[in-house]
Amino acid sequence: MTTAELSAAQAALAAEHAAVYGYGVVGGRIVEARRDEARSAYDAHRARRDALRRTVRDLGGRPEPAAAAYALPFDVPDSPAAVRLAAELEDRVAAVYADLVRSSTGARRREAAGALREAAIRSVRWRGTGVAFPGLPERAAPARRSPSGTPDEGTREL
Amino acid sequence: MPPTSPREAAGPRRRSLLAGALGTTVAGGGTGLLSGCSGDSADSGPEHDAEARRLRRTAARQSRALLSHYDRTVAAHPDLAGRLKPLRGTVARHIGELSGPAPERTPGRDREGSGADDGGASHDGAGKTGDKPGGPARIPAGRKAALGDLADAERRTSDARVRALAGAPPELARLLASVAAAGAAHAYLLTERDT
Repeated sequence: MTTAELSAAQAALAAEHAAVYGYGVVGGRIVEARRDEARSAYDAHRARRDALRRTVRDLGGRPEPAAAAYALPFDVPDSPAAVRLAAELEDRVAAVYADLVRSSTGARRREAAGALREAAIRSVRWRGTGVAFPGLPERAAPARRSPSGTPDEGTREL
Repeated sequence: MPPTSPREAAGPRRRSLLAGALGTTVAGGGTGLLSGCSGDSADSGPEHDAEARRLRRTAARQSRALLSHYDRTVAAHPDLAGRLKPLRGTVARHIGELSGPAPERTPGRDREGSGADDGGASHDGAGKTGDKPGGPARIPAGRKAALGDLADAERRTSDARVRALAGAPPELARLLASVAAAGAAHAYLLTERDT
């Protein structure tokens, strides 16, 4: 049980490292009106990252470090792309916390469930719509993206 | 400073930002691989014991109550139908997942409890355990208040799920955390976003 939990915690830590990096990119491209939101998310992910480092140590592991840099899943030349990246980051974070819920108990499970909830809400804030089972990619509906891959921001396009 | 890994030192190849996004969960998903519970085969083990079934039934009942609340809200405010349709659809999917088949039993036979486990039927969640019917007695006349009531119901249900998942077996806990998160996201959409 502990080995599975440690593995899941390391995976969550890796996702938070990536989120912290990714939000740095988001912040650099996102429109002014949403910059505070990006900043707030960035700060929240740093806090979660730090908490997971402690968790990994508590579980007897060595926290895996962040990479020096990450390859972005797609180009982020403008604000809509930045928003889409933010949503993707949250979706990935949601998935690792769902796994951590499964592998943990007690207070750590509660924490993981709370982090999953936060990620789901942020994902909705960025995308404008939600998914039926946040954090469970095996239950995701086929993506309904426009062929160009740009996000469907609707009235939130600024 | 931690030493750079050989991979980082190797040059321009970078770790993908979304690496493992699917791999982590697919590898362990659904098989109980990470559950740490030995012997949890398809029809035995903690995921299928009486307590787990009770938790699922309760969660399904709560979702049916939510569904009823959505339907009555739309009945009172037809102009909200479009906006509420995707949220209602999600709640219906939750019911399906939570009511899901118990693999070792014949469908519909010898279920303990209320027996109101008919998946997507849209009725109030009152069962013989005496749960209150779903939702408020009346839907507010005001659009905003009606949405607020729905959001409150979603939030309460979400909170109940977070409490319940503490004692759930691993896979069910993961599912409950997910539907709890979906409900919290619904509460946000119902009150913070005006589409």
